[in-house]
Amino acid sequence: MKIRFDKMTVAFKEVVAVNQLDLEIPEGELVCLLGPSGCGKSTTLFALAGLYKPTSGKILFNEQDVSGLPPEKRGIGLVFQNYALYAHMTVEQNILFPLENRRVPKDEARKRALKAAQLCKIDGLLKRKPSQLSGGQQQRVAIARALVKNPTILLLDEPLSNLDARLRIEMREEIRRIQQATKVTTIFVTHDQEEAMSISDRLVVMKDGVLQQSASPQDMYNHPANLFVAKFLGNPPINIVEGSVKGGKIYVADQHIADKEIRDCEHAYIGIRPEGFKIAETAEDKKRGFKVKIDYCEVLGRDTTLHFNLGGVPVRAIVISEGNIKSGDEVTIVVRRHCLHVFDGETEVAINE
Amino acid sequence: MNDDGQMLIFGEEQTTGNEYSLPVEEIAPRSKTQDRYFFRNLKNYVVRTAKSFKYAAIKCFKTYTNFSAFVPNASRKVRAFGRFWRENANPLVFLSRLGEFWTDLTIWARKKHRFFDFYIWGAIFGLCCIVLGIIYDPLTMDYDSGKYIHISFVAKMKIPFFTCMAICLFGFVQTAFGVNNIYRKLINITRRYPITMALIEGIIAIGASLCFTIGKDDFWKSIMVPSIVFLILYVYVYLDCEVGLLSRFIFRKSDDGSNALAGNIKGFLYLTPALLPMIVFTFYPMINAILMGFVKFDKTFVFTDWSFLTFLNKVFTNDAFRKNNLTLQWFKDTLTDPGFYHSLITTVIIVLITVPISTGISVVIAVLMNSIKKFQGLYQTIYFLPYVTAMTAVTSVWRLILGENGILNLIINSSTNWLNSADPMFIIGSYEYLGIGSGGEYFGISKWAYQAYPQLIGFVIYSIWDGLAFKIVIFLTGLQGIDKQVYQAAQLDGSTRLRTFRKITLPLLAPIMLFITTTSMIGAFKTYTSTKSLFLNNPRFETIVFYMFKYIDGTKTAYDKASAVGVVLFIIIMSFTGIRMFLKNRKKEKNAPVQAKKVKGHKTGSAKQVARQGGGN
Repeated sequence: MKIRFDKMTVAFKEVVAVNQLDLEIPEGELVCLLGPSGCGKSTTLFALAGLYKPTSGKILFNEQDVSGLPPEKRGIGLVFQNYALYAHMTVEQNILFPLENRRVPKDEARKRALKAAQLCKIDGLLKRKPSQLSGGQQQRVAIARALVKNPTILLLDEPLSNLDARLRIEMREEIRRIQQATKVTTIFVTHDQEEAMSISDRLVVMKDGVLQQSASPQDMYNHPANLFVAKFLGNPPINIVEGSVKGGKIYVADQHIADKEIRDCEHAYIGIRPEGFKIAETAEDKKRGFKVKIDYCEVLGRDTTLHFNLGGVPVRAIVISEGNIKSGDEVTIVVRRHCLHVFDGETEVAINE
Repeated sequence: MNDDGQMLIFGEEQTTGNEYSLPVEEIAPRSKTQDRYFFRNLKNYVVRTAKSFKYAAIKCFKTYTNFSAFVPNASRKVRAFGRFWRENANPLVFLSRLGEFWTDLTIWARKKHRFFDFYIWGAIFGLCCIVLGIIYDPLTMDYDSGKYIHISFVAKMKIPFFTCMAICLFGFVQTAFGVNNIYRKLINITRRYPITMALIEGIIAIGASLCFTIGKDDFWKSIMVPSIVFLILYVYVYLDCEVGLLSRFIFRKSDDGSNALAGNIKGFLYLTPALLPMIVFTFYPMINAILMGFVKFDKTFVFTDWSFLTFLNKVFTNDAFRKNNLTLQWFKDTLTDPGFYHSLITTVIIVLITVPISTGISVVIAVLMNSIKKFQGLYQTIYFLPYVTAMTAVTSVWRLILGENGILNLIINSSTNWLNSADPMFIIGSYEYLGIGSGGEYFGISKWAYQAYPQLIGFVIYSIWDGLAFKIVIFLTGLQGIDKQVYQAAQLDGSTRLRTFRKITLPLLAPIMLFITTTSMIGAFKTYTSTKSLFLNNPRFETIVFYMFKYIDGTKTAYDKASAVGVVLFIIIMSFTGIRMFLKNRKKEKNAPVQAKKVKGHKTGSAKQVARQGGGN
């Protein structure tokens, strides 16, 4: 189902958790709501589920306003952060519970429960109680319970935050698989950008209740809409230095570092991804690049991390381990054009023209 | 039996040469799993034990006797028998040989059956000890008259009792001080130098026998029995250091294999500040009260003479006391007194009405109170106030409510005096109803009918109200412990509020429900103060505690009888609580198979489904 937020605001007393959210989510996509803690992503999710009422604005499912509908009538499956399984029921009873509430005939309910369990690979655990399951299994039960209702939208609220690193990778692939199998529109809340980028069709980044950018992961990485998004995505993080743009030339502390066909800007933030640096080898590169003194370098097998100063700011560059650069060397460095982002010094919005 | 059977049978090396004798060090310490296994497979265990007894018997038979049916070469056997007899002519040596053999046997059995356990063997020895005490010395010399007299069972039990106590103590001490290794060495020494050890044992046995037999006529009988007792003690020690019989329960080894006692002593030390007052003010009086129920106080033994040790001393030394002051009379009196049954019925009525109603109401109030957001603290305070208010103050208000012109009468528009009406409201049971017929007696009760006065109803109403405060607070705590997201999940799953309450809130509150019903049931059985303050000194019904207090009220000092009633009350409360627990467990078990069945049916269903699908494809 297509979801659209129309200027939705959720406020608790004086705190505005979500501010004027305008967002469209196409049908059948796996969308990640991404942002630091307290940015309003869970609130958005709960508002979508109907557990919170929007203070103003609308939520539309297939262009129909559902803002006033109670949660049970929205056809939504929600997986809570701590799974919220019914501790006194077995796995099977847990999965059957939503169906019993809908008075689905018993045989059919059983069939559907088994199907959901098989999809989540927990059909061998039906007799157990949640306390006898591992974290990953509990999470699958929660997903099965959400899926058994045949929801039109599946919401997951930081479902991987309680799992260990290895299980997390396994489970996020599992979630992807289940989403692909059911083709249900899925919204996934997380604060882990790596997790978000690896499984989602679309990323939605929020900050302090305000939508920052909504795009596909690679698109967002390559074309961040503002400084916050650029800083938030990528590991190791992007290097930000202050500089200026004059006539298509970018200067950092009066040093010309690269060219870009954009408008002039007195005060700008220049963002360069660590992998956006290259050591000049050809004559042309050497002419185009600029000289820096390497403070120290870490050789990590395939890659080498170079640390140097650019406009008084420590900068990290990742280059392929070639030649032998040592700490204290002076090298010429070129910036790859597509890894260079310029943001307005006042508004912090990306300058692309 | 093979050709060199002789050597095997009687040679010095026999114990080490046999297949059942294994080095002591080889025995692995028992694990917890083994313990669990033991308790789960008691039947299997008993069978195994019985089998091993059989094997042991056969082994014993084959080793120590020469029965010609088993033996082809008879003359050799006869010679062997003679040699055996020469070697073992001394019964003490024979006994110690037997002890030696026993050790080998236990080791062999433990090796043979991995889960072989000696707990039952220990119990058998304990029983043997007691039976021995009964058989042994049925007549005791009366030193004054120089004749044998019959004495009571208790007196006869003296020796076995103290022997058992000594054995237990010995076991505790040796485990507590970690002398297991010493005994291990001792066993090895015994195995290496059996004759020396047999001699030492013999000397010990003779010494012990002499202690027991000084001044007695029947020397041989007297010397044999203590020897056997000491042998048992010896074997017990063997077993205890092998597997730990009784002491094992107390001084369990910790999981990491460190010295369990060191940890335990620390734990006990931490516990002492709490434990000491408990022992002094709860357990000691409790034991005394129970014992007092079996005592009749008279001129020779007045209540002020009572102390635990005096009582024990008199029981074991004073024949006149045993004859005159030990009695079951009070229990008989209590259980045949119509007044007791009257109070029992009253109490049961109070329990069965107040506890469920009060619990039900308080759950509902707690759930409602949990759902309100504003003024929750205020409401909690209001509902908890009665609990902190003095009972006399509360009951004076209730006297106004229940009085003839009280609010209750105003509401239900009646003129009953709920505090002091002599007209019974209903009568339970009667002479005819029980079908005993006129003039007959039933359990010594000549007339049996229970009359319930309005007071009881008034009290039940008060009691329900009185219990609410505490229960609501406890339920609220329980409710607040339930994750809110579970309710949100239920809401998303389309559960109605009533269904959420029934299917989620109540099951999750079950442990607290159990706690509340159990404690309030116990409390209701002990109803006394509230009746006393509500009806002042004019109650028309008696609870059991009331009945008990009749005997020690004011000038009366029938502590013996009151104690007996107390013991009966204790047993009643225990059994009711037991029933409550049993019902809860049965409910659990009842649920489990149903689930299993469900799943089973469902599984077969799915299998069919799969098959059908397969066929279709």
